[in-house]
Amino acid sequence: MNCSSYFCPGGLPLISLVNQSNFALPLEYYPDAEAVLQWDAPGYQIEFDSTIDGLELSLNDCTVYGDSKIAIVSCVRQLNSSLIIGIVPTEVFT
Amino acid sequence: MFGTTVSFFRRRAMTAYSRTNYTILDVEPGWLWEPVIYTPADFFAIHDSLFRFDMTQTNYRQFLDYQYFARIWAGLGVNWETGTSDRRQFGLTYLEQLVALSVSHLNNAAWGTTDLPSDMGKAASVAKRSYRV
Repeated sequence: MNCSSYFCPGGLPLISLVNQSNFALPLEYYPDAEAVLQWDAPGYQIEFDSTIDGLELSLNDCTVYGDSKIAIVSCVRQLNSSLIIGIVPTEVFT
Repeated sequence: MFGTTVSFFRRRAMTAYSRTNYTILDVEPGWLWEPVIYTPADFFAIHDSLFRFDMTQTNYRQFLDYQYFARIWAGLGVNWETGTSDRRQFGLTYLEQLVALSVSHLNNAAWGTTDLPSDMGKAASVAKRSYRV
């Protein structure tokens, strides 16, 4: 099994105050404090599993992007609450 | 082909960021997970914006949209030796980055065009770093 899992909490620059002003306290305020703690905020947990033996994609699941030289075939299919995502970079020889 | 299944969940967390270089120092996720259902149409809309370029332009390969496409194409490891495990891992990692960035970067409150959800985080504070032993 080849699985990986990531948590994406957003980034520090995305934190803004209620009045939309910048989050960042100038460093001259509380200079000893090294960190900013963002409390109880929503983020994405994203889980990948590249063990896709037995799962199939058809041409109907795919779109081809590119030109006569290079192309990317992108395929996406629903699998219950997840997605199967496949991608093929190809080089066209003429 | 590089392929993976991917599942998305909404989860709350406490995150500690460095004040000086913005890196994440620590994350303490909560226990509640809520699946987020995306459809192929959601991703093809993103892929259209990432991968399409205007071939009607004269010398279109010199334009930024084509150069951007070519950079992603190269990033997928086409120059690695075909069939090697290194190429597969390289391409797979790049694919995971494309998927994760698509949702985490494009679908956030700062880029949104609608009102902020009511359950966003509402507290932040500064702190000194310490070590858990």
